[in-house]
Amino acid sequence: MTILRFLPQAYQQAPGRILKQRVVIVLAVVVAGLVIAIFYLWYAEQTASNGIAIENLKRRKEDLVNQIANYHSKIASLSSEEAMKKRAEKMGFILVSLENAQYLVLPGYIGRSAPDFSQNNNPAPREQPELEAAYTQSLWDLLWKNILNTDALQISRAE
Amino acid sequence: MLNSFSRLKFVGSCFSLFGLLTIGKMIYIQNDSSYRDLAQRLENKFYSAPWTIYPERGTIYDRWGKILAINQEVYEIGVNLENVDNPGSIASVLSSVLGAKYQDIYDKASTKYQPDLNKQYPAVYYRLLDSVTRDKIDVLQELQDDYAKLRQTLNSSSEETPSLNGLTWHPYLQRIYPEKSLASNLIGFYAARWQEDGQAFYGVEEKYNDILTGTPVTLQLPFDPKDVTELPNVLPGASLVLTIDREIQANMERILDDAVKLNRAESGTLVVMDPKTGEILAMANSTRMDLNEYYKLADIFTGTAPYNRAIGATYEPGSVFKILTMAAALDKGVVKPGTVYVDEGYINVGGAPIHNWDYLAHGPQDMVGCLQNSLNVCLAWVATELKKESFYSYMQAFGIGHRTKIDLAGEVVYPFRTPADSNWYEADLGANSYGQGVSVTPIQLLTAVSAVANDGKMVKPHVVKSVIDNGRQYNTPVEILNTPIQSTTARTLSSMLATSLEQGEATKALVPGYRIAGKTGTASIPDAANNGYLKDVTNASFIGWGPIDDPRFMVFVWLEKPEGIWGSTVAAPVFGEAVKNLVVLMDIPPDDVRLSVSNP
Repeated sequence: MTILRFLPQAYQQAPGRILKQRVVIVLAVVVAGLVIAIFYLWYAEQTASNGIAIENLKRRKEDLVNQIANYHSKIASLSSEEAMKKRAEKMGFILVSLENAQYLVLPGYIGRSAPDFSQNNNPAPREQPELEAAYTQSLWDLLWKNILNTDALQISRAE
Repeated sequence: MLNSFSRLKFVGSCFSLFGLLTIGKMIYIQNDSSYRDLAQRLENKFYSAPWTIYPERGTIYDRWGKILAINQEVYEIGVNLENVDNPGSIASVLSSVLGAKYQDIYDKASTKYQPDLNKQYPAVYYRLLDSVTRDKIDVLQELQDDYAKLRQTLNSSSEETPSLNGLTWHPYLQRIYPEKSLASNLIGFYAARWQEDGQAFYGVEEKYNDILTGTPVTLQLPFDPKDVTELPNVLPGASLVLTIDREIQANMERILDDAVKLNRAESGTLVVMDPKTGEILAMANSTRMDLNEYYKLADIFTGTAPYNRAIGATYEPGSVFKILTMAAALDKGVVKPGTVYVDEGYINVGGAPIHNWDYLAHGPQDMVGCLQNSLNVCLAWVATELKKESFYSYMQAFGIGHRTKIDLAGEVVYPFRTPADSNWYEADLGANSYGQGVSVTPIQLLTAVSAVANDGKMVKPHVVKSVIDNGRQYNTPVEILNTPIQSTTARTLSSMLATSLEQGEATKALVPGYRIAGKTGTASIPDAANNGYLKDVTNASFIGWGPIDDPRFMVFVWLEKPEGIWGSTVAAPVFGEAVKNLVVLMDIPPDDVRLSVSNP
């Protein structure tokens, strides 16, 4: 059987069969093209959706930053010296004067301690990018690095 | 056959050559910088747009974490001219909700949409209003929805149907000062109508503008949503913790305002400093402004009025300067506290006659008596005993004629004439010894006298206690500027000044239960026009510190042109009132209680 494979064809194939073969080849190319196109469209749609989602999240983040700033400014206004003084007076408090101040010795009391500001809202700088590489790769890069790249395959097998 | 083969070869060669040239050109374009720049420019123009992210401006706190300056969300309102259906509706809504001028808004909203930048008047968007708060925006949003429903119900796209289409708004952060005018001269302000054109003026806002602002980041944002870009992590600007105590500041401002009003003074300044660290606990000026209304600056600070008199105004200090003369003489050893000077009420120094403030002769006086009676003649004699070289050397060491380099924008200095200057005369030595012919700022005087209060060490004054950056706190270290006198001299002089106060120099400055050192000052005001001094007007001042065995505060008071002209009757009571408040606010028990705890 092996020898027969290399023998030249003695007779030309029937025209109908040749036509069928050609149609199949064309269809195979078309189907392959469609598969690639569908995959590309799916990939593009996914990326675009994620891009829009990221845009929305970015706006949401900005909105939240502004809201937080608003809350802080409201707290600052509500606890301003003028507001606190008015509230205290309304509640019947009076400022202690030197004449009526009394001092008690409390063992171990070291007085008012300074607040720790290092825990404030300033975040530490980001070292790693937050966006995964898949969102910024082209289709070719994605295929090459994740599917066709043999180094990547060997590493994943080794793992 | 040969011909046709050669022709084929020729055509093939041509095609090959063309292909090779194309490839060569492609490689050239890929590697040529000018083509790369061109590609980048085209990409920037048609593929993406620049977008600048402005970091949130850092917060300013007082020493206990009370907020003095922060940001709040406000909105810019504008119109997208392409979408405007009814400019009249927009104008009437904005005038009723926000009080804007109808005609002004109507004119802007009626502008013809013209996107072509090459035409004479391109117009796409018009800014209408800024600094609109969120609650007003909620009202506008509700109205916009109602109008849209109405148009839908009427099924009308007529220009006469009410519509807020085209009206748009977007948020940004604006600086606000919740304490309004409190410590306004020290904080300064950040003026920004739009986010991109903000500028800081005066105080810590100007001095620390770079670190408060942070670093804005500009990136090219692609139009294509599937081309996702990593957004940089834009860190907010650093925050500042000031040395001032909000409660002390507020109390000092109230005391100063009352004093200015009571004495009908032109202006007043009161500064409280920790003499051991140089931390400014309060810096009060009688002229202040609500920092949220910074646009009123020119109406409040008219002419050449300095924004912060404590660092921006110089004056002839008068008798408070005698502290420095006496410190130099004691340190040099030319006099001792018990040295007796027979005051005849007159002395001549460099050809200029010097009299006492009361034009009387006080007879034999020790150095405490000279300070207690604030004798010009005695201090001029002390300066002559000290000799001009030593006197001016000490004054230089005290920093007279030099900036203190306090961390505030706008510190000024008046040149101090010394024997090395051509315009110095022998008579200057006598005048300078009791604070005439020399000009200082309040902060300069406080810094110099801090050496007497702080065992001879002169500390650098500062208003920023810590900088908070990237979640880390960086504290400002205490900086010793100079040690002009020995610690023994400082303690001796402190005790002399306390005694002179107790024996009657300015009893109104005394506070029961606390031993305090201090000195009054009544200084004539130079009259530049007549090359002399103004009549019947003075600068009344007082500088003091306590408790003298462990100084926790230094207070400087200056009232300009008060109705009662003497420092002992005008400024000393203000000092006394300030100290009565300070000891309570700073939890400083009376001396007997404190000493019984430390030496049981």
